[in-house]
Amino acid sequence: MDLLWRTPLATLQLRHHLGSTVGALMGVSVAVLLMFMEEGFQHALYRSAVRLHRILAGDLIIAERSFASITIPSGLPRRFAYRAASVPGVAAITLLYANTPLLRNPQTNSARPIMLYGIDPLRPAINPRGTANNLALLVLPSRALFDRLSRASFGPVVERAKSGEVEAQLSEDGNPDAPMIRIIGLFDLGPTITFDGTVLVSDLTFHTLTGQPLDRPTFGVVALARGAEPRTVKAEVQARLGAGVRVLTKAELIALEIRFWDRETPIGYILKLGLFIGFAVGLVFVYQVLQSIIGNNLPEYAVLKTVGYPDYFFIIVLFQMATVIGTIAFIPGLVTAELLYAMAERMTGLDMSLQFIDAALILAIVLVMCMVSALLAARRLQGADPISLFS
Amino acid sequence: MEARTRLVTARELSYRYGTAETGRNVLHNIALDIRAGEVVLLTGPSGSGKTTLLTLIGSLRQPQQGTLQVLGVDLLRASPGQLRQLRQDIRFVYQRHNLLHSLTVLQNVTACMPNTPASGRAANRQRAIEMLDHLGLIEKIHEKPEQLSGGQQQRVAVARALVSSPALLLADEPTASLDREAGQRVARAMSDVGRQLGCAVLISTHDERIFHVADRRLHIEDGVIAEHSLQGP
Repeated sequence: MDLLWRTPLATLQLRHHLGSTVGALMGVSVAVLLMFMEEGFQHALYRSAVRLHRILAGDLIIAERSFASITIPSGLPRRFAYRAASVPGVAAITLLYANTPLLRNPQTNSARPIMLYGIDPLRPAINPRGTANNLALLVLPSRALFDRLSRASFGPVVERAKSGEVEAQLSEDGNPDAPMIRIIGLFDLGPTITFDGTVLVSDLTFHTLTGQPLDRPTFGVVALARGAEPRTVKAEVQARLGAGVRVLTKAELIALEIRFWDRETPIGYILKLGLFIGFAVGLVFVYQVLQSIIGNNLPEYAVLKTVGYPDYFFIIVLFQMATVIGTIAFIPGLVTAELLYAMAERMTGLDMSLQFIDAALILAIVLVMCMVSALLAARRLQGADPISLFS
Repeated sequence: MEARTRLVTARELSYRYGTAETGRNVLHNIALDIRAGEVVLLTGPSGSGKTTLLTLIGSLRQPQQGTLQVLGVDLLRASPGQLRQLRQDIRFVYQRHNLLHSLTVLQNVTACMPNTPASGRAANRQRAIEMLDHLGLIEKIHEKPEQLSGGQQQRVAVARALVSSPALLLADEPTASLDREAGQRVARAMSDVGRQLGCAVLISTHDERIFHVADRRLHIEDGVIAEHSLQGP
C-alpha cells in the first residue's frame, strides 16, 4: 500500500488536477469562513448578552419563576429577596432593575433602544468598571452614568461626558417631552447585539424614568458570607422562598441567558442555519472535486483493482484527498476570519474573538464535512469495473 | 506436473449473456490449453467472444458451463479467497494504457508490484527500473505518462504487467491504437519478456502485423474456437 503513504496517490492526484483542487480549496475556504463568521457572531451574541451577568456583585440570583432573560421585563416581589437575607450563609442582598427605554440622540433627534439598569448607588448590585468613583453621585436625582463602549448611534454622548455633564432624554416611547437626565460620568460595559449601549442610574431615578415599582426588581443578587458553599446556600434559599421564585447561581443565570438567545430568539436559529449552510457549501465543493477526480481516473482505479487493491484502499484515498483539502482550506478561512473579526469588533464593539477550542471545533466540523463528501463520492467508485477496461 | 505445464485448460466451456429466452450464446464448447512460456494469439471478428474468453480466463467473470482451470484453480468452484489469490498471478494489458497520470512512469510500475516490507521496497524499485530498461524506457522513468508517445505508454503498461513476474499475461488489443513500429515493439516486448519469465501470454488481437511474435494462433468465430495458421487471417 505504498500508494497510501510513501507515494501518496491522494496528494499526487490533487496536484495533477490542480485547477479543480484550487477551485475546491477556494470554495471550502469560503465555507470555513462562513462557519467562522457564524461562530464569531454567536460568540458576540452570547458574550455580549451576559456582560452584565458577569459583573453582578454576588454569587446567587433570585428571580421571578418565569424569568428568561434580562431583556424581557420581569418583576420579583421584593419581599422574597429580603426574606432570603435571613438564610445562613447569606451576607447581603442587593436589587437590580432592568428596562429597555429609548434614548434620544441629541444631534439627530432620533430615539434608539438602550439598556437601562437601576441600582442602589451605595450598595450596588453590580461592580461596574471604569466609574472613576462616580457611582455614589447617582444618589442625586436624574443622574446617570453612560457606557463608554456604547456604539456611536446615540451621538457624541461619550465625548461630551468626558468634558463635563451632558443631558439626554430617556423615555419608554421616545417622547420628546420626557424629562432630561444628566450624564455625569462613564463606565465600561459594552453593547450587545440588540442594544447599542447602556445607562446606569439609581433605583429611584429608574423608578422616575420608567414608572416600574421599586418593590418589583428584575432580580435580587445574593452575596454569600465568606466560606459559604453556593450550592448549599442556594438550596436553602430556594427552600425558604418556595417554588414561586427561581434561585440560580451566577453560572446558571449566564447559561439561562445564553439558552434564551440560542433557543428562543430567531437570531439563534439564523446563526445555526448559517453554520449549516457553511457545512453544506463546503460539502458540495469537496464532493465536486472528488467526483471529478474519480471520473477522470475510473479506468486507472479499475487497473489497480485487477492487481489486488481492495475497495477500502480507494475509500482511504478519497478520505486522504478530502482531509488534505479540508485542512489546507481551513488555514485561509481562519486567517480571513480573524481579520474580519477585528474589523467587525471595531465597528460593533462586540467581542467575536476565537479561542483555541472554537477553532478546533470548526476544524473538526470541516473534517466531518470532508468525510461525508468522501463517502458520498465513494459511490462513484463502483464504476471502476475491471471488465469495462476490455475493448 | 501436468497442471503446472498447462496453465490454462478449458473443456466444453460455454458462456451466455442474458436470459435463456432473450439471451445469446457467445462461447460454445470451447476447448483449449495454454502452456507456460507460450505466446498465443486469439483472433476473430468483433463480437466473436474473444473478450469474453479473456475475461473468463482472467477470473473477472464467473464461468457458467464446462470446466476452466487457470493456474490449477477450477474457476467454476473457486472461493472468493482463491480467486483473489489467483489474480495475483495474472496481469493484463489493455488497448488503452490506463496509466495513472499523476504518477511517474516508475511509480506506475512499482504501484502494481506486490506489497513488501520496507526492506523489499528497494529491491522492487530496482526490479522495476530493470524492467523499464529492458523495454527501452530507462530515460523516461521519472516522466509522467502524458510526456510519452502512445507506444511508450503502452510499453510502460507492459512493464507494469510483467514486473511482478505473473504466470499469465492477458492482453486485449494491445496494439490497436499504435502505429506499425510501436505496435511491433510492444508485441515483441510482451513475447520476449513473457518467454524469459516463463509466463504464458494470451493476446487478443486483430492486428496481423504482430502474428510473427506468437507461437500459435487460436481463431474464434461465432463462439467456436479452432487452431489457425500464423501466416494469415
